[in-house]
Amino acid sequence: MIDENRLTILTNGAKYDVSCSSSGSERKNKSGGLGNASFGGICHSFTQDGRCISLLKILMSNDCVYDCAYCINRCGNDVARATATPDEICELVMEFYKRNYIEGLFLSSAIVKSPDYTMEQLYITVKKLRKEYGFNGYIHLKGIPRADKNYLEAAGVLVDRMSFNIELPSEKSLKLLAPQKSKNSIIEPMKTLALDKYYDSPFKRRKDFLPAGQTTQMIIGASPESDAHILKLTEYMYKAYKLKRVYYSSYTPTNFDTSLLPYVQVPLIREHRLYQADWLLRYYGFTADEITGEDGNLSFDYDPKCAWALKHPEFFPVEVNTAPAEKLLRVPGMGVKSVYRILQARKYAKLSFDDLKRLRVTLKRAVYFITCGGKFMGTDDTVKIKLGLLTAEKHSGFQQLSMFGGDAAISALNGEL
Amino acid sequence: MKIIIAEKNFDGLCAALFLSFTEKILPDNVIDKTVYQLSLDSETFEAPSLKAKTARVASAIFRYGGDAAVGRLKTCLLSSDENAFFISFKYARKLLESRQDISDMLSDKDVTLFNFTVDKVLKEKHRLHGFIRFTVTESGVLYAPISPDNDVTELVAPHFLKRLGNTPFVIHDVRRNRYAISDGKKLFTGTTEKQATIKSSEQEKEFLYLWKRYFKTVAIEERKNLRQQDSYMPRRYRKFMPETFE
Repeated sequence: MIDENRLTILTNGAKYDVSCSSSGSERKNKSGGLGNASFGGICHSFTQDGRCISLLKILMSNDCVYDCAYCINRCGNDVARATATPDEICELVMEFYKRNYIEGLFLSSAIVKSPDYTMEQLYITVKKLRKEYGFNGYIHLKGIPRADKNYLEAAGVLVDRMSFNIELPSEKSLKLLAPQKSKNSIIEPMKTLALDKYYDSPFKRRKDFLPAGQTTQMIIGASPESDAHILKLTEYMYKAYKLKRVYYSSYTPTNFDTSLLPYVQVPLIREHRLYQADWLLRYYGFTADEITGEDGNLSFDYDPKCAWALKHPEFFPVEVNTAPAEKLLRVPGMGVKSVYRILQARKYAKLSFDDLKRLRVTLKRAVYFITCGGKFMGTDDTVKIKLGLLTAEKHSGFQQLSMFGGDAAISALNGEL
Repeated sequence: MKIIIAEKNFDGLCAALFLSFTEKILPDNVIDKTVYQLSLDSETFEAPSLKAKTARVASAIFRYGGDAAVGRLKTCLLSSDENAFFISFKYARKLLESRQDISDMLSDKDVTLFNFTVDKVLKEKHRLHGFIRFTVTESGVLYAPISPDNDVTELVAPHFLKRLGNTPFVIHDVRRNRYAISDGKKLFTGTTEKQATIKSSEQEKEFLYLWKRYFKTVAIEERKNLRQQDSYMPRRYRKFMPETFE
């Protein structure tokens, strides 16, 4: 059994990885085995930072030979080192899974000795887990750049999802902060995993090879790239490598001995806005160019859809009873579920504002941008609209990290300040 | 006030519908036989669950709404909402009257209310898929106590039968005294007044300790956000989640 100390060290090294999703796979339980995968994913617990625990997120080892400036595990750092054996990890997964603590395993590792050696250890572990221990739950395996290509093929049939971290939003930053990794060493395996032979049809992956596809992650704020640059890259990667998700990780300073990195944590609101924008790209029919502002960044004050709507008054108001789905999806405050409900309901009867409330469509933002049967309940006064949107933002529970704080921003607008 | 009294389950619902159609009663409420309080002016009609009658109604519901309607009505009846029985009744009556699937007729008040009530139960079911915690007992049987808002034991159990393969388990709603037992092949559900006495396996303590350690370590201290934690994992579920104990 793995001891408490090593578990702590190996968890500490893995906790900055963002992805914990367990969705996208329908792996079945095989007789005699333990576990299956749930297509929608299941969260098992929530930690004090509000993030979900779905997978046991752990490093095989944090004993790294690389020296990436932003990473807590880099070889130049004086931190406690630990390594777990494949059997220790398998046992932990089985015992945690049985008790319904977790949905599966997220296995990653520092580069021990060489990329090939590391990838081999990871491969041995997941193979053991599937074949010897009979585990049919979810496995997300981190890919190691520069490792032999054959491991991709071999691991792909065992695990549900693989990911290669793009790490930083540009090649220049990568060279500066992670000199041992190169753009090609990360991009090439991603390209391989997106090959047509792994797909049944253009968007449907084969069930026996990474059914939950591949994802990637990048660090936000350790390097100077703008949001526009990040979103363009995101958009490109979704298309070119058929990624399921792109994750953003706000840079948290862990190493203070280098002048290459900022000393302060990136405001969490930036990461939050990027995720909102990412959603707009994937589900709401927006393009990266539309969303970002003139200075190339997303607004901290308004969510990206509101910011877009404020710049495009010619698009509004949208009539709820007749507008097509694509138009409704662009109304601030309207999500995919709300739009679906509206489309269903209006087949039978004309909708009023009261009907929308009954359908639990949130109106605090939408009210400025829609009409119901020709009736408009908002206002023409841009200042009032902005004020209303800021209030909605304040009540959405996300802490504003502006210089004056959210309250001051509002009182500045309504003249109190 | 016209009130139909029936057993709060699918058969009882069918009985209430049968009575309502044959006797031309449009009730102001439908309530559970086992727990009710009547107001002074109420005129009550009892609807006994007689197989010959309820089967006719059940097959009609199936004809117009399919498996989905039957399943969703059963789900709604598990809700702890005090109006859940009447909400199901109104939905089913509308389904039988309109003789077609009405699940997406969202312009109708009764349909949306029914859908939201069902969704609430299903949301709790999904939550419990994650929040249930098993203890491995000495004999190797897994035991999990729960105390959900809605009566979802039998909704939750099939997920674990599929997942845990041959491992036998017990899920026990300690508030309602309901249980679901799996012998590794089949599920058995029922009610019992008995209290479970659990002897946990030798390793139990050690893995529980590792889990608590993991739970603490994986959180990023600089990003503490207890409000978000509370909204995703309401406190009422935590009494059976050992990682949250101080």
